[in-house]
Amino acid sequence: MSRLRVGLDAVAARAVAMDERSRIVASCRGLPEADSPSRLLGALVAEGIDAAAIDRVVAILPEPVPAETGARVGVLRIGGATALPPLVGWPAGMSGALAGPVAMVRGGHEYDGTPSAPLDLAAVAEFARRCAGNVRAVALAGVHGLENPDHEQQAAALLADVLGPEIPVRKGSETEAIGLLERENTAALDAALAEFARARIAELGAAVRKHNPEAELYLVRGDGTVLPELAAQRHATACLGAARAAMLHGAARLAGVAAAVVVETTGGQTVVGTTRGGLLPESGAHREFGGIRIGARLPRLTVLNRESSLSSAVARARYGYDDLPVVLVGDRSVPDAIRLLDGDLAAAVGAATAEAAGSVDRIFWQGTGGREDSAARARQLARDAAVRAGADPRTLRETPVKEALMTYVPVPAARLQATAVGPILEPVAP
Amino acid sequence: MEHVAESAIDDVVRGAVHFGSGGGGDPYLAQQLLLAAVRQHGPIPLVTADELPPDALVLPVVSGGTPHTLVEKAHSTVEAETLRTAVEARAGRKCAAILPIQLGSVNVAVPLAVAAELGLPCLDLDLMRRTLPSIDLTLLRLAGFSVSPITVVGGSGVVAEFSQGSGAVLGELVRAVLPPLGLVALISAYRVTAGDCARLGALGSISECARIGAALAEDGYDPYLRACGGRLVCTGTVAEVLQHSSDGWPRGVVSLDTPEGFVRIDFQNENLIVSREGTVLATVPDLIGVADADTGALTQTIDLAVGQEVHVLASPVDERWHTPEGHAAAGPRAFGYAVDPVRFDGSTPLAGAR
Repeated sequence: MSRLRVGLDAVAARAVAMDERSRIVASCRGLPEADSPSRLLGALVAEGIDAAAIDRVVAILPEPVPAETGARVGVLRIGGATALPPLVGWPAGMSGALAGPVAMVRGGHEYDGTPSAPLDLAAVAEFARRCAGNVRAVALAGVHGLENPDHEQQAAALLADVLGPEIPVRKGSETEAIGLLERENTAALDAALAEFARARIAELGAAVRKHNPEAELYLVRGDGTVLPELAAQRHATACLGAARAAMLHGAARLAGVAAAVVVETTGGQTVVGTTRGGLLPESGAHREFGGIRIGARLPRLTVLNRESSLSSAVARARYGYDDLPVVLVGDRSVPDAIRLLDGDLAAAVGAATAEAAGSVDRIFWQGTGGREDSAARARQLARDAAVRAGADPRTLRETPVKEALMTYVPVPAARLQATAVGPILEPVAP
Repeated sequence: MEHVAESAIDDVVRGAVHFGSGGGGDPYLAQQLLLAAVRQHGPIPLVTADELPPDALVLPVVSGGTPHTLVEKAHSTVEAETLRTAVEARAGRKCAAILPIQLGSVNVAVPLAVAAELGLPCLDLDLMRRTLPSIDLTLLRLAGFSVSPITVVGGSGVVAEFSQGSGAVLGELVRAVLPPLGLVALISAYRVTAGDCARLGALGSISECARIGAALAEDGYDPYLRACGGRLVCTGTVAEVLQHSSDGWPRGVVSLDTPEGFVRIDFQNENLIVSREGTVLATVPDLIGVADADTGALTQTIDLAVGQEVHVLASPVDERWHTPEGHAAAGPRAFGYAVDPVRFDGSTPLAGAR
């Protein structure tokens, strides 16, 4: 009896069960916004599949609404720029709804990881006392926290001591992104959404385990790869954009191709994107949530209205890979394209077949060991992150390491970016 | 323009990116910095040089560092105060206003933020009229001023001063002290009075940013090209972005696949030369910008992604850079390229002078 993977697209209310050879063995179509994720799962099981054979459920949940779903958070900045306090650029509606105590304390690190100043633990303790009883979660971010997370870890430990285990603490260094504000904003929003994400994901987790106590739950993130259940509870913003990303991957899967340009038409709008090697090429632009910039990047997509011509958008989406097939989701027609009959299932299929990935994007000191050594460290960090996300370490694929040298001040350091991606580690057969 | 209020910030920063010529740092950081300053201190007053007494001392300000570390740590108010104190102590008198040294996203935002923090007005002018990678590359120096004295204030409370010497060496020394300061510092240089500024001209720098920024926000790039007097060089897809470092500055090349053939942009910190299959189309000191074709936003060259559709836009710089001295300081040969300067419109710069 084949083991099953379930893809749940709770946005469009579609679910599929797929076997080990990625064939759809059951599917169901519910009512968007009416059917809860667990009800959708129940409806899929009712199609007659063996619930005990479900090893893995990968879900896309409706996105939170900024300000409505968030709780009050305290925000702690470690080191650096007092000219640029936390949350300063947040839209008033967001900071009004979410901002609790904010503090800036001495500490933080330099680009090479050396401490700029000792961490002011007394000030951290004072901040913790201001937060006690006042906030539902705390976020903290330190200058160059990726290059050295030491001060963030010390502050997080102290906060946990004062506030207790019930108050989630999110650290900037949990987000692999260059830019203090981007990491700080991500941590603050993840903290604000922590309770909301935990409740929703825990509810679905309970439903999954009712069907099979051994089954694993993953959530799709904004690049179409997965986050394990607990990590997804910690990083609600990582899952923004999941539905579209899963659709892009899933459309290629449904068409039986490994890479494709996907053209999706819904209503009056057409979106053209690319999936290649299990990844979506990045646009370089940051994702925003409620008008706030976060660390995650947007995939490269072209949005067209119904009248505009598709050929140049398809040519761009294909750039450098001229023989990529074109897959159509929706009713728009393009010459020589693969049209999907079950295009509405694409996101659910993308979820069921999603892989796990990890990325690195930070500054590496190249003074000792040179460029080769830093590139090796970057690749290892990306592989480690992919494995933490659930990937099988034996089957990881890697992107080339992208290097950006330091401008304006020549110094042996560079920003390195790399991603590792691969299939999710299969549970050992009983 | 009499002050920079919150409503003007987006335009000012968007327009400042234009003068970065593909460099100058992340506009998001710049925008947030200005927002913080205006929210805390109120609108930042702008003054012209002739509104101040001619002998009034002004405080030239530039933020030195690499864009990758500037997005981690901007300056703090204490550093701004330290800088003023050091400059005033040496001069023996008070500074009447802040003077931006260069135009670029970060280096328009930082002097304005420093003005707000110190309770001083900001002069609506600057010394470069664009972003250039060294503090000695200014119109003031072309006019015969010495770049010294230079004051460098680091985040750890370190103050470094270079009291005399030649421009290029001092520029190099400033860069040399930045790594131990964490690659970010608040810097002042030159001894300048309001009268010097009035004689220099280059009026309305911040206002110019606001005007160009407003045009950039409109649909299509025609309003922008009209505002900056530039032209569209080409539209193409980014095929490759490469950087290598052999002689100090990282040298970069962007290759663009265009309908008229491959276009190449040579860049270091800013875009320096744009050429099509061996024919030079425009060079530094004129401005060469790259805009995302979808959003219309001018981008940092180092952030370009393969497959991205972009417009290359060239536009004129302050005419004083198109002199033999200007070209010697900031023409392509000054950056190590064996190429004669070509203006944004493809013409030869010194033709009129000959």
